[in-house]
Amino acid sequence: MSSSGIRKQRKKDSIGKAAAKRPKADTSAMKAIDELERALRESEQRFRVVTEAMPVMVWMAGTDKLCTYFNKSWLDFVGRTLEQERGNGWAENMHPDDFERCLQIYVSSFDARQPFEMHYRLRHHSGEFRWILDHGVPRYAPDGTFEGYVGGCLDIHEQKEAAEKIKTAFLTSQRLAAIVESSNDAIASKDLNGIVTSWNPAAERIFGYTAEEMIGRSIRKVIPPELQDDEERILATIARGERIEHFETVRLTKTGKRIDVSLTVSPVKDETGRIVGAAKIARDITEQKKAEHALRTSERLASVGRLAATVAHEINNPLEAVTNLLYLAKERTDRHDVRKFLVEAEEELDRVSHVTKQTLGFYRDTKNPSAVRVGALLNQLIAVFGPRSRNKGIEICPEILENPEIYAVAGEVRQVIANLLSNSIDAVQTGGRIRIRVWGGRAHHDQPLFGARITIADSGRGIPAEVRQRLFEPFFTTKEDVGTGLGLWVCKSIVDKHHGSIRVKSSTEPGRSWTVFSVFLPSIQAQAPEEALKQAV
Amino acid sequence: MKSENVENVTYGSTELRRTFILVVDDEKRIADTLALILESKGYVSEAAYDAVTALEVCRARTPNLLISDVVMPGMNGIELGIAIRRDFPSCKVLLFSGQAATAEMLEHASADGHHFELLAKPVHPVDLLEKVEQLLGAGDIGTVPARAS
Repeated sequence: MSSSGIRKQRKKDSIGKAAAKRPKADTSAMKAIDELERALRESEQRFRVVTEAMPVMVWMAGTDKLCTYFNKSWLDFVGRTLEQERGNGWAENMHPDDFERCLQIYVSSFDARQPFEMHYRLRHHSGEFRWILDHGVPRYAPDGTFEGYVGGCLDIHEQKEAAEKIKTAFLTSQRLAAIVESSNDAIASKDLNGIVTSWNPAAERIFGYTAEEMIGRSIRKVIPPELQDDEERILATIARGERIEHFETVRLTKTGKRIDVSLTVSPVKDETGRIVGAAKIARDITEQKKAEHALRTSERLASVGRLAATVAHEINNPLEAVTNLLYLAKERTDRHDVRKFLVEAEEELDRVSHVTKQTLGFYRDTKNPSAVRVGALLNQLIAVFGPRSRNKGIEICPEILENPEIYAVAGEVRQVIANLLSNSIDAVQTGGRIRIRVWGGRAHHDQPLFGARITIADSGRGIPAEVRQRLFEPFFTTKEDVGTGLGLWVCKSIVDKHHGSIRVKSSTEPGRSWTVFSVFLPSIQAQAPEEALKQAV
Repeated sequence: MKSENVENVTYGSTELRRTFILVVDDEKRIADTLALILESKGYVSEAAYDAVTALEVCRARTPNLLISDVVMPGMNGIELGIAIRRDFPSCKVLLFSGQAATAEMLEHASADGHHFELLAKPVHPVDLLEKVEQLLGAGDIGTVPARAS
């Protein structure tokens, strides 16, 4: 039976019509019938009074499956009249997605005279579809004649939504649990006292403690003695509702081995938004650290090598001259000639000792940060790189506008400038220019941080955008024969370590190309940077 | 027409030391002292401080030997060596350098078919003279025939 079929019959039907169709009989029988009718009307009256007063929505249908009655509750809910709802009019307010399914339940239950229960969305008078639980049962006359169905409906929208939420939450938590279980990173949770409340398989693998051994115990078990303060800081941060991201530190495994980890800790809140603990993700970066260390060492060696080559040239040339001069001096007998050659030899030796002094100063490095003036470093570097640039016919123009003092590892800052300068010398053609400017200023953003700014600008070919993106990646080089691909990567890691920043701008426009590297190194107060640098190392 | 060192041809093998050697180095003192040393050993020698001047000298009088530094502003020693071999095939070429990086430059040149002998600075004059003798003795410098241009 289709819904339109139901609707067509709707108007024909009414309780009154059924009574009117009954045939007439003799008077006594009539009386009995009248009596019965009265009783029936009375019972119906009572039924209506009761149903009208009920908060439950009630409907009734005749044997033809068409609805004949809806109580006040129903009519109030849908905001329609009984006339509109009768027959199949009520079905117009059912959600279209629920209609076919419910019709099937209704018709098949009806035909089998079976009670039924169905959930569907019914349009509330506000326009909103709300979930309804509809429970229908067949009704029979006292003589057992089937008279149709009566049903009661409840608005279960809130319950249904809550159940949906619970289901979604359950699925989400199942999914999360699966992710946590299969993660390669250690994931643990702890309360605000640092007591572990969960410990995933990766945590078991990385730290060597089983979940059983850790849950209910303090997380401090995996923190080395000298870093116990870490935990105080982490807990304080979490208690403020802040997140800790990629905090690189050291942890202890069950066997006492130290591992480098990167921690991300987030506050965990309860349903009221109160912070009740922390979720901690620890990534084992021991191998990564080793690799980085090896890379830095190799770059340091490579840069020493490059420097040695530059210096060798500066020493070998005067030595060649000295050797020749001494040879000539030995050969000559004229005192005047001999003297001239020896004086020249002496001058050449002075050149050698000048270079040596500079070079030794260059690599006599302490690892400790100290007060550094960038201008002074720059002058030394220009003395070293000067001959190389002159050989190429390149002009280096230093401009020390200001000479701010920063707190840094001098050798490392020197390496940053040396690498950038060396790159510029490689990039610039004969006749080109490199301008180096040093001044005091603020960080690239409008941060309140004050420090030294160094820009190295050259008139080289420029760096194409696609190369620029990968510039600071280790092993990325465009100088296949001579580049290690580590220079800029080292620059960046040194600058990062000093909490500074490094940027590059470039144009490859033919004839007007240029590249500018801009470095900012903050001049932190003498106390703070030591802490910062220690943490960073 | 390119000029040849006619003087040598006339004097014959006994006058080998009249051989003309051109020394090129952007370090003037090196070029000058080497030229003096070579002169003191009886060679005819001239110093040039860059490759372009060196080529001009060659055009005026073809040397029997070119001794050149490698890393110089403008045209480098390898480029000069290649140009001289092309234009003045009778001239031997000897390079000397104080920079490790020149090894790479030489490898590149070698890959292109230009092989050069390289001495590392500082080279002692005694060793250099020995090398010069050896190079010049290898070819019959004293009797270099006049070339058709």
